[in-house]
Amino acid sequence: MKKIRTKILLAFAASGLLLLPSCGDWLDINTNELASTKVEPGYLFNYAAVNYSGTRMGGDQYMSIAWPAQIISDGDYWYGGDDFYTISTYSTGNTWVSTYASVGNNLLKAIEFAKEAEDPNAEAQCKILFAISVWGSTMIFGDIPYSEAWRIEEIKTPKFDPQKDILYALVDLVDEAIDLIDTSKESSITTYDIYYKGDMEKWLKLGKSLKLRLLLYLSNHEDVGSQIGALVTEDKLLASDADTFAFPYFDTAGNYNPNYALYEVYPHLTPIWNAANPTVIDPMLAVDDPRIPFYFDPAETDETLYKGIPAGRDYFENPTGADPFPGNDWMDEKTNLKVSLLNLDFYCQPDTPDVLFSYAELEQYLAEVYVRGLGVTKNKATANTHYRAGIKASCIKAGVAEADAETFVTGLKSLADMSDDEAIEAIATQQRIDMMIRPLEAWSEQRRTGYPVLTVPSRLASMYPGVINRWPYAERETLVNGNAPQVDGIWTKMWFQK
Amino acid sequence: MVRKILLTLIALLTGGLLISQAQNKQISGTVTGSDGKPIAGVTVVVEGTSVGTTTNAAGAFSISARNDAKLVFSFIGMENQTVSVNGRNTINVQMKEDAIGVDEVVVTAMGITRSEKSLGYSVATVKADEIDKAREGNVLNALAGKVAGVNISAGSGTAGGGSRIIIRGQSSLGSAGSPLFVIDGMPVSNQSYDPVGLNGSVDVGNRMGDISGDDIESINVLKGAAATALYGARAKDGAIIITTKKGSRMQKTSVSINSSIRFDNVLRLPDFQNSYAQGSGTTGAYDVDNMNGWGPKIEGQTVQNFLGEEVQLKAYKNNVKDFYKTGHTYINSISVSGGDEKNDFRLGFTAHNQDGVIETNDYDKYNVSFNGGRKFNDKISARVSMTYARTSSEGRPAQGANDVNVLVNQINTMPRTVDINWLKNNWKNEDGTQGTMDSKGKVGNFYWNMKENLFSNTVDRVYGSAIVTYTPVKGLTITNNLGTDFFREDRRQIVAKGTVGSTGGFNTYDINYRSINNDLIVTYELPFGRNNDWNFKIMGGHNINQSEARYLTVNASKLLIDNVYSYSNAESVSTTNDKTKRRLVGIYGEADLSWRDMLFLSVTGRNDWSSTMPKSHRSYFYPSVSLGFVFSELIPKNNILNFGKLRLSYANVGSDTNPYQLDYLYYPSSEYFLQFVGSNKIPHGGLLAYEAASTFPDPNLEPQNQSSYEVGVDLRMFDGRVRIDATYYYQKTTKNIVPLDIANSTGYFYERKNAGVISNQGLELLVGLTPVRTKNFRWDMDVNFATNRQRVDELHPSIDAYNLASGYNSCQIKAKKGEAFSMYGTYWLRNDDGELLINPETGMRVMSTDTKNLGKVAPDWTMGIGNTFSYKGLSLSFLLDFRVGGVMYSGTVCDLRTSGVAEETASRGRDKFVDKGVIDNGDGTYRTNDVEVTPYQYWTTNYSSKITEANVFDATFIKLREIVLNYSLPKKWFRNTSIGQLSLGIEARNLWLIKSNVPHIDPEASIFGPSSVGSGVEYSAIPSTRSLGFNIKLTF
Repeated sequence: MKKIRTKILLAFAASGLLLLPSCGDWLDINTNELASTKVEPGYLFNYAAVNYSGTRMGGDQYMSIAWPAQIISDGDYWYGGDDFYTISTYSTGNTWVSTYASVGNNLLKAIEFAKEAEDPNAEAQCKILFAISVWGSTMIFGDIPYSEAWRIEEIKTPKFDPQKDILYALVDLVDEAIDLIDTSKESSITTYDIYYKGDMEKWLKLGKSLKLRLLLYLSNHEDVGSQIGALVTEDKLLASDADTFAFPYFDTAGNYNPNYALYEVYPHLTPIWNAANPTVIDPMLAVDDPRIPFYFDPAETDETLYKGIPAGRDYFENPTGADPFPGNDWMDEKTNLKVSLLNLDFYCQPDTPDVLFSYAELEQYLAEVYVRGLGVTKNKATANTHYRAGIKASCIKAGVAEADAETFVTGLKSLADMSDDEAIEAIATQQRIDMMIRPLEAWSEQRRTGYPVLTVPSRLASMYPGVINRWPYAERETLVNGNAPQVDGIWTKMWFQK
Repeated sequence: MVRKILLTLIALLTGGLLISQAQNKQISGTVTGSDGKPIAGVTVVVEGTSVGTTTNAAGAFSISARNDAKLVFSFIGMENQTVSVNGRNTINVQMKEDAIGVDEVVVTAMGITRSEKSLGYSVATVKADEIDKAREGNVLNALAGKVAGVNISAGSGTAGGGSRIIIRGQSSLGSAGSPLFVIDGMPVSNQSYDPVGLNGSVDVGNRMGDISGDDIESINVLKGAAATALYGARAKDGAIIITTKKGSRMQKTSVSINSSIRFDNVLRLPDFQNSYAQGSGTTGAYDVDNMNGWGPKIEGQTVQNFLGEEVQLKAYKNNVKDFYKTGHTYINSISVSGGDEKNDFRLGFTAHNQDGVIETNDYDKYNVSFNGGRKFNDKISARVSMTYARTSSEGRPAQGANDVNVLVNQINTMPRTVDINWLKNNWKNEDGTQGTMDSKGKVGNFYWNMKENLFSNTVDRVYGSAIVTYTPVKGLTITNNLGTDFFREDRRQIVAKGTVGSTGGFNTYDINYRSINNDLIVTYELPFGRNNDWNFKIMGGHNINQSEARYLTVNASKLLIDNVYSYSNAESVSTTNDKTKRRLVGIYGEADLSWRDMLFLSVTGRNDWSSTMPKSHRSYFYPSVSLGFVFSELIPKNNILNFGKLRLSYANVGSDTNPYQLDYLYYPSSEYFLQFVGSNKIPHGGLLAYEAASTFPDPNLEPQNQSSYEVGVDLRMFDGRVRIDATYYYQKTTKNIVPLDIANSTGYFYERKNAGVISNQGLELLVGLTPVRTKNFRWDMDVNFATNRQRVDELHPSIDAYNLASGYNSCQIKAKKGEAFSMYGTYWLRNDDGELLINPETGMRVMSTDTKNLGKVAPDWTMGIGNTFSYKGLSLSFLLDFRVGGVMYSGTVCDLRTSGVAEETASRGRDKFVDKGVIDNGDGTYRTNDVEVTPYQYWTTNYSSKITEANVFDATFIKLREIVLNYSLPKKWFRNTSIGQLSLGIEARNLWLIKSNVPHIDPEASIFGPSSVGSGVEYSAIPSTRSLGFNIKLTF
């Protein structure tokens, strides 16, 4: 009996002893085996790429810029939101997050890994994409944190840099990238480069074209002619549509273009949220632009009618409240639309790409450079060549047959027959048409060139002294960072504007 | 045979611990009442140990104890008796009715039983008879309104839905504040995994819902830190200690049957208008394609319905009501218990079968539980308790927004002119796709969503513990309790091919959880001094705990063939897996010193080592001290104050954080966010991606700390007919471990830090009255009242407010310095006189661009009033539940109003009117608004979801929570049968919403699950139910 008791006591003691010691090792399990402390730069680069276009397309930026910037009309279907200059905090927040976290921070981490691996090409790719993203963000918010951003260990509340400084800093960053590129070497970001598949020649052209864009955004107030001249003379810019920098989407579930994904969820709303805006369709109608049927659907009431509805107007407007509904300029009494909606084939296919920098866009920049004589001798004939090349590329991209596109551009009034201002307006008009489904670029160009001249929608006139020129800062930043500059309102012009 | 099974089980569970033969002496006897009749169910405990038994139906017991031990006999409503063994083999005891009731034995931390009288902190006990009064599917709901300071809220009427429990207010920024649940010494999971969030989430319930109320003997609620200090970090939000039912030694085998059937109906449906058809809000013209009530007046006009039939416009007043059906709940349990002189056992089986108010929503739960004890000899005894639970459900509806399967908004905004039968009979097209409610095929018929897009889940769970107790010498007890809790849950949400607005697909979620826990406790008790006036007890313990969880989420979209739910049938499949593992080692001790029956001092200390903390802060210690002073011992016995005690306690507890929060990590990514759509998948074009951490880690985190003070008084007066128990507490949580919002421009969303101080202070008051007490009739009334004041004393200097949870649009639950957790959102602008500002152009209210505090989410006070009338075998009881104060946001109300189907939208017809408000003249003066608007403009603009204030309501309510009428048939009727007891009952739950300030819905509704830090947000929650049922209990 005694023996048994001893055994029990021993068993208790032993179990106690087993549990007590080696406590340290036993507790060393706080390592997450589903994550890594080190990764290839390409994996982070791809994360940044998908997120950047995910923010640009669909609900966050596409609609929230296209409507207030009067590029596309929503016929007041979105409960009076963005087209009433009330930009959702989701849009401002997600755009901010994309700039600094999902795109910005991941690219900076990728740059660190690329540097570690001594891969200058990968570093350059990341820097160029980074510069595009930051440019987009300053176009939306104006002055934003840059020089003190992404330094969490030292700075918790980064200061907001003036837009001018940011644009100059981005020129420097792109210069760094251009210098880093070594076309004789393969980049480690090749398979994981969804845009160019590691073709460094194309990256080099993109870098130079991007530098040109950045310089043009400085050119309203800064004398950057010589730098522009050097780029134009060197002529190592995007040379054809094959060089266009675009993020592809696929006709595979989960990889759809966000506009199409939105259409799948809201099939009855998405089309009527996307109506032609007169600032885009009217100049096209004026010259019988062959892109019209590719861009737009005819009105429901008339198969031959193409027409826009101005921003801030309502399909259902019925000022006298007459019953039954008497119809108005945009809808008949049976509620059939008398205006054009955007052609789903053009902007809303599963594989419609997100174009970040197009060849057509570059040609219009070159046209502008020659009209304004920025670092080159003024020459509207040369400008016209670029102007037509840009329009032609845009037409073909939209689906117009090459011969028809050629006929169309040759029939257009030459820039050489216009005054400088008219020429600039014509170029701006074409950029806007080409950029209709790239709202951020279209809005930026409109503010940079001042064309077309926009007015505040009548319903908002009492509340806003001017058209929207910027989004409010993301609340999630201003709540924790008191450095945001005070601006009068969303109508306050940004530094780069004319 | 029983013995063999027991031995095998015990041997298995204790890992082959050796078992010895009899040492202590076996003592048996009978317990009778003052009338000389035997009493069954009396608890007999060897004082100072956890060795115990209960008497059988004949009042007999058998227990092993040393010659010099003392036995404590306790029974509800009887005075405790302590009897010294003094070498006797037989001890017969006569119990006396206890009007005062202070000698009840309660289970405290680590399963230590103590007399309630001796405690320096408050413990609330809910006994079995209270729990199965009106049986609940989710046992947590049985506590609603019954315990002061415990807030229970069932979020929806989903069959098998979850309940959230908060004790004494939320104390932390970083966690939901769910208490620790302990069943027979084993901490068990109450998790509620919600990967979906606000968009289309399903009320999946919480894991405590797996437990069968019929297996529970008692629930002890430990509210303050002093009560829970021995459990350490895990019980910082309180602890719910559940003791399961046992058999008794020397009890002949008896069988109990408990059967209930209940009928469940929707408690509250929205108030609809029945005057206007669907149509264009601006033109007022009938339009079959609009899902609203903004069309023409319903006057029998001939129109085309969505089926293309010519019909006369007519309001179908009950179309929404007729969508819901009467649900049924069947709860049947059978248990067998008994024992011989060395063994006792209880085997229970409970089946809960429920079909909900939504046709396809079923919920089934089966529990098999076993509790068996064996006394090997005077020194060694062992007990095993184990439960297998299986729950399965189908058709839990999606709630929230932005998801095709969210049902309630589709049901509620159905035009008033739609006959529900049209939908019922036309939900599927001939080609197998979803039928629609419009002429253009763009608005899906929600019957399809209900019938085809089913959510199903099954849980298989086992939890249990094995306890071995060894008493080598007098006063010394060694107990080891080894337990485990593991479950596997499979969930699947289908979006059938052919659903409007989706390409079809399904998501599956596999959840695996496993936890093991071991406590080794040594106690030594030593009475000393003259007459043994002093008693000293010391306890030391060691705890190890490990829990791990694995999650696998697979999202398959675009199915090739209908109804084939194989991943290979999907064009796109993306998987996400997650895994966490944590370990904790603790040592703890308690020293108790008491003098006579008057002073009780208890000091505890615990040191934990946690795997989740940085090595430098891995170890943390926390103490508690409590004092009970029975001051009534100082005054002569009298008939006014029978008993009076003062309680004082202080405790400080530390707590750790979640695993893997210290390293800077890169995570493989399977999707990325898309506004209004949800997400797109990675790989994109075949390419994978990694993302850097979005929360910047702090490798030097310190443990969170909570200190609390409690003072209370317990008075029993007038021969126990008045009972008052009041407690004031103050608790303060510092060093909250939270992901702080950080300027995104740093590259991160959050920075994990120790930050913030939150205090909660409150008063709990229990008043028990027995206004009438005669031989046959008795009226008891119990009132419990609690108020809690929460305050965020400090936040991290870098932030102004901490976002606890996000609701819809601008609605957020925030913690801000100097305030309680509150709802923030956009609001209508007002002038200094509080008048609404109106836009002169539109006639609409001007909305703010910023957000403000719209009210705190927790109630000001809560109260439960229970009344029980008993006459012989008949008893009637009812419980009123009060919640006063606090706000909630309702998306459902917003939908009802903006779509023009709510009654109030038609109260003025469709004529234009002028909203009450003023127009800013621009010179500091205001003029009365004179701009006319249509009801359509008024409701869709002013009450849109973008204006939080428009959809925020005072969440005050008064509910008749339960009514139970029970009749125990006189025993004499069955004298010559084998029937021991037979009772019949009528039970009703959630019967009547007596008062509410929220229109259209039950103010308790919420779609933040039990695991969310937030509360107070509702959107398309399945309406809660009222149930009425019958119950029969039989023992033989």
